[in-house]
Amino acid sequence: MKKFIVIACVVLSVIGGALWWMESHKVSADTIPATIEDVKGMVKLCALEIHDDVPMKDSINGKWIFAKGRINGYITFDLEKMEYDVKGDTITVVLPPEKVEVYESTDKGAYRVYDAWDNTLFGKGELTTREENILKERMKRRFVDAVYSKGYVRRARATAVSTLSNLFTHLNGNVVIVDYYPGGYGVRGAENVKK
Amino acid sequence: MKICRYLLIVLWFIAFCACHEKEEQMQVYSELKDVHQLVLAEMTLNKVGTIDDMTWDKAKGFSQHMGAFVNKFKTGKRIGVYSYNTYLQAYVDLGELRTGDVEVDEENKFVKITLPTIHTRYIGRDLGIKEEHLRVTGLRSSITPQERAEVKEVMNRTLKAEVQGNTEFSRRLEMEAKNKAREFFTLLLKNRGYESEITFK
Repeated sequence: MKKFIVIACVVLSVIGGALWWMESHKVSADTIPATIEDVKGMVKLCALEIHDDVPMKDSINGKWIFAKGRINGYITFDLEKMEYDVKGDTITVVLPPEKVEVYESTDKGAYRVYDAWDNTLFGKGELTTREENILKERMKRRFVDAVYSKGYVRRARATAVSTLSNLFTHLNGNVVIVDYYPGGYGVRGAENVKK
Repeated sequence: MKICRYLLIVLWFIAFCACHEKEEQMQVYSELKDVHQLVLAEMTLNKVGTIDDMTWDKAKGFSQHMGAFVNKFKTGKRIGVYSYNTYLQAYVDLGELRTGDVEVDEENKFVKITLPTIHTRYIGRDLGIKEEHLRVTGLRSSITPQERAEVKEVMNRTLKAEVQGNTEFSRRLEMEAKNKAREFFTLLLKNRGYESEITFK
């Protein structure tokens, strides 16, 4: 009898191990070759780069997720929208509104989900793609708010003024760069500011 | 006594398997840097990936064939098709611009600019993922956020390999960037009464 129990234990362990091992090979993830959706020319100045690992613990419809995303943030200025005014031999250039661009990094393992669970009664629902995208959008908004509150926009605008001054000095111009909003135009950009 | 020995072997086997589970470590990365980049072109690349059951004809190796075999006994279908965009940029580093790179001929109102080398880089990808198609039927479980993160990782890896193996991507991006730089500086200098020639290092 005892021998039978031991053999049963061994057999069950082996079967369990084999099932666990097979579990990871049951799903196939295929891809289709990448296509170029768009190529566009632009002239924008990038003055500050932020690369941050951002934890995300958030919920929607009673479903929770705990994940970590590596975020790339760029503070840029569209130089094609740059306004300037010529008085005598001096050109006054106004620094355009900043844009905080946020992307997920393409580094290996940039987005990792540690846990996802349903906290509702009898809840067994998985977080849908739409719900997960909403949570990521919230994370993006929090990131942009932090960029402003930590003074990164102010720093980027100061760097942009210095870079543009250097560029125009090289171009042999008598140019003055003016920044009317050193703290930034805010998350809604130029339309947020009364002129 | 013999039974105890067998039980010890079984316990040791279980403990050995448990030790081989990957240790989850969360490393936090943070970087902030001032840059002087003039971005001249951007390329949007779309990538599509699927999560599907392993089938016999797709399987490679013993383990995947075993997985495909197990899938034969399941009731229902489970397939998800996802896509997202990745963005590449071409830029010049204005910090590399030297005084000698700009030659101004006041007499003939002519400026010659030699811009720094064009660099290309990935700026990132969409945070979200677009669900193109989802079909989960029978007794099958839904696709989890972990699986979506895994497929995104596979898509990212293959996209990078495709871009690295095909110079057409960077060539088109650089060409667009050069055209844009010429257009921008020519117009800027023309407004100040100068003719110009824009070249690259």
